[in-house]
Amino acid sequence: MSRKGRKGILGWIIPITNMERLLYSLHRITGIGLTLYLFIHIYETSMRALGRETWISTSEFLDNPVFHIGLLLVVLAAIFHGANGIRLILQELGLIAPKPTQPVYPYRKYHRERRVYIVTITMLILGIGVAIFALRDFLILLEVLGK
Amino acid sequence: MEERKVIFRLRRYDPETGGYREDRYEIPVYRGMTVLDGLIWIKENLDRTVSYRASCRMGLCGSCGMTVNGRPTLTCETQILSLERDELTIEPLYNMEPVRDLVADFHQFFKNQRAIKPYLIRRDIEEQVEPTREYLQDPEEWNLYIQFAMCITCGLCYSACPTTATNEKYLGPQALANLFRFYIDSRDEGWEERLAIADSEDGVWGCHLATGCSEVCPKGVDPALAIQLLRREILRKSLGKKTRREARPLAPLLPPEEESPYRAFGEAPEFTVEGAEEAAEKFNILHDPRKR
Amino acid sequence: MNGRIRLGIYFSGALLAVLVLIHLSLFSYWFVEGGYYTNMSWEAVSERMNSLLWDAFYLVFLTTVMAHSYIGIRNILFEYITSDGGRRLVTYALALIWISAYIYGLIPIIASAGG
Ligand code: SF4
Repeated sequence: MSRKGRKGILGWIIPITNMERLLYSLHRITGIGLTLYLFIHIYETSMRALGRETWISTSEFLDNPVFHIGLLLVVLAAIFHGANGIRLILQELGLIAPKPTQPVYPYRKYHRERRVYIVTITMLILGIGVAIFALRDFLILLEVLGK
Repeated sequence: MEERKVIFRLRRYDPETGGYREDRYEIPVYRGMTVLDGLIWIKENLDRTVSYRASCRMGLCGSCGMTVNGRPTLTCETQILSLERDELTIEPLYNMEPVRDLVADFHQFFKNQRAIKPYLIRRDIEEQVEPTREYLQDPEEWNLYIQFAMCITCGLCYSACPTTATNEKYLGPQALANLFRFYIDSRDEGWEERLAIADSEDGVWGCHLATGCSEVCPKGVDPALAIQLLRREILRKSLGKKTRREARPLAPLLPPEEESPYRAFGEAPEFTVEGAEEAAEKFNILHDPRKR
Repeated sequence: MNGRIRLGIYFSGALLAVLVLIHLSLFSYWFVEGGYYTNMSWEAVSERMNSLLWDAFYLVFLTTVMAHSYIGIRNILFEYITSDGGRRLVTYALALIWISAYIYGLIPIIASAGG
């Protein structure tokens, strides 16, 4: 078994041949990012155990544009990861899988259309829901940044 | 007709140095000329040392897969003008060991293909080897697997997959699609065995539904769909639900006066080529489930 | 190595979709001008942490999110580390990190559970 010729970690993001491939890359990147944030968040909230003073000084330390924007990114990442994750649950477990059929020429076009419909429809339904949510967060953060 | 020129940039692997080297060739293009035609033209007119693998030139043998402009492509089926580029970058297939120039090594790929037991598994092996009757199958059952039986083992899906990019143990889209093809075949009885092969980190659970495989497949196999369906079967099995139905019984016996047509063929003719007998013997051992 | 651990990521993921929505709406609501989110002030959090319902919520949330991220990261590493020994090492090393982080995360929940 050889790794020669294999793309390695780079292969997780290239070649981007289609939409789901891009979603896959983003899902993975946001997943790793969110895990890092999770650890920071756990550390941050554990400050509570040290008493009121520490908690307030931590809050004050975090109250600046850099962290607010960072938080917005985290929220967006979480929303994307969640929406795409629900699609993945439905698709990966074969819950919304189409029936296999005899391929029709031109094969590639036929199958791409079938797949793209499924992905677009699920992502749209999920997207509209979370977009409202994200928009509100965004407006609030804008307000914070405006101060 | 006005002649168009297209530049082929070949990213050639050199086994002696273990590195890549890029060569540029300018070739005249006519309407309908495929990428493979371009490579043949280069070999005939410009540089005889260019190596690539190709055979049938009509999208049946699955030999000529290469990466064209960063996308795994069956070169004999892709027309140069349809790509609408003045420059094509051609590389060997990703995620396989390069052999020389544009040729990639399918060793691991076919090893995976063998690992999934790509043949009918029957409980009654005697009947399978010396058939007396037909296996029955109706068009509905045929429809369930025919899509996955279209595979020509060209390896494009393996090269487009992000999991194979790092995980050399992963079975890959092609092998899993083929596994499903036999799993769902109404004549097959090895479904327990097959699910056990698929149910591992390097089987269906290695897939993350990037569907690059289905996108690049030149035959509409949709390996990602096969993996999803396999997963559903595994899920159903672990929940204790019914999975695949039993194989259908054999065709009814013919009345004794009408001999089975399988018997009518008589003995095979004598071998006329030297060494053919041993080759046939080897082949039989390979394909006889009793000797496996 | 059993790949079926991946099933855990689907179930925890479905649960997380709901929990994260609640968690996110927390810091967006109750926003009062001036400074950090007021529902994150010491008093507001104390009030929340004193209710058993919120404690239960955070406990479930923390457990799910830890399980989800553990399986996810393990899965990613398994794609790169393919030898059996390496995979065993990844499984245990990650478990160690995740369990310690889990205990660390439990501290504020437990500390405030008493009041
Ligand atoms: S599944 Fe499609 S892309 Fe993969 S080897 Fe078969 S024909 Fe080629």
